[in-house]
Amino acid sequence: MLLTLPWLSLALPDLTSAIEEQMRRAAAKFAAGESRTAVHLGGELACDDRGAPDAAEDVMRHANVSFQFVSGIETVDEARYATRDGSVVCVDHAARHVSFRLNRAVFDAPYSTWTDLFAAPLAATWRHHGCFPLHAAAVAFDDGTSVMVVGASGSGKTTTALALVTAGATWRADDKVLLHHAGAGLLATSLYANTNLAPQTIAAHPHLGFALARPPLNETNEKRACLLRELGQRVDLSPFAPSALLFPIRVTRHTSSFRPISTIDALLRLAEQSPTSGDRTVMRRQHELLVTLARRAPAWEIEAGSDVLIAPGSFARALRDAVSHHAVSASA
Amino acid sequence: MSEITLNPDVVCSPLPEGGVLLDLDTKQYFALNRTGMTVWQHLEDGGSLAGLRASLGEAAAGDLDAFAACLIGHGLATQAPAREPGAVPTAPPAQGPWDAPTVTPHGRPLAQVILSPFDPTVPIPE
Repeated sequence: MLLTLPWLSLALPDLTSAIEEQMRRAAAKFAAGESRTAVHLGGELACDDRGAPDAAEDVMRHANVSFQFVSGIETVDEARYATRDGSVVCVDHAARHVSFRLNRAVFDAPYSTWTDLFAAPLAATWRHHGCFPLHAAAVAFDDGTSVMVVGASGSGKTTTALALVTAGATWRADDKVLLHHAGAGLLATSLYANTNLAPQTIAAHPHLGFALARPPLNETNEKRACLLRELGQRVDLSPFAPSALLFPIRVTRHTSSFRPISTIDALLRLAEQSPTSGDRTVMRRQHELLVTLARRAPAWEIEAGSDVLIAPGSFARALRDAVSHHAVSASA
Repeated sequence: MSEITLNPDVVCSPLPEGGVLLDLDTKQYFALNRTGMTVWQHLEDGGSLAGLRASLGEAAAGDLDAFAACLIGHGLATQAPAREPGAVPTAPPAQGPWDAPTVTPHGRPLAQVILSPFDPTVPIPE
């Protein structure tokens, strides 16, 4: 597969060294008893049926971690590890090294604590090239409005986005996007093609019952992995220009409400969901990008009630009416 | 309060309702109201508190001093000696009713509040 986004290819030369350095640091910290990262990694690797958790842990403990980019794809669990272009990551326990079996788009990391070792150096590399991760889901309405749903884990991003998709919107991203400048504006690109749904969210959508048959992510997280295309017929993971921002907050009442928030408030909430950098130049560029987004896209706080789950259609209509009249046009 | 010098490691961004300051040292965001933004930009452009006091009158002097003390308290500025009278630039004329300038810290510094998949426990090599 050829890279279709010029800004992705920019990151190739320094990605390898960034991952190597990250792995060295992780292994050293784990060996010194300062980090449980490798333990977490081992736990995640248990889902790879070719190895046991302790094998991966052993690899990390001895710091003999190497990796290589190879051609071809070995799917371990597509629903759990699918990335935007279908690449996956595997570990070769027999060879005692971590092999990232990827196609050309090595930038799409799987969702898991793999982020400690893989997505983190990716994020660092991205940031140095002006691309900044943001914790957000996104959908598009038929009128071209692309709304990003921004918030911490558990705030209701996926639930809100799923309600809108159920009512006919198109998936544009879930959980993680990359923001980058494009001319005078900016674009957002989905990192993943999958998502993780809480059991109560699945239960509220009868057509998603198949997901409950899947194993939970781990002992402490009951969410189930699903491909976005399993959750809605319309999925478009190409880069998009966000035209409105939503910040959900869960409330206990039935009916959701929407409140416009100030540009300052939106910027501060965006900053909380876009991991910062220790590099001042990078931090300044990130700040400027978030300011551009906050200035461009009007923002709302959503107090998300139970109607998001019980009556997603009416919730989606009310939200779309509130947002579409004020959102910047897709071509602006 | 005489004069203050703005911290060069603080980024200021004007926004419709005022503006924000980002302290690159502490990763702390601050919100400025419109008056606070005007005062900050005046100082950033080489203006002085003395010029503002002269322009706005005694009624605003206390608010300006409190604002300057707040900036110093948050590490956004340091105290500076008073300037020679001839070196005091003219302040912009006051427009509309006077609102006291404010600067409000936002929550905790970013490094402490981000719980993101991209914010690992292992330091990022950069």
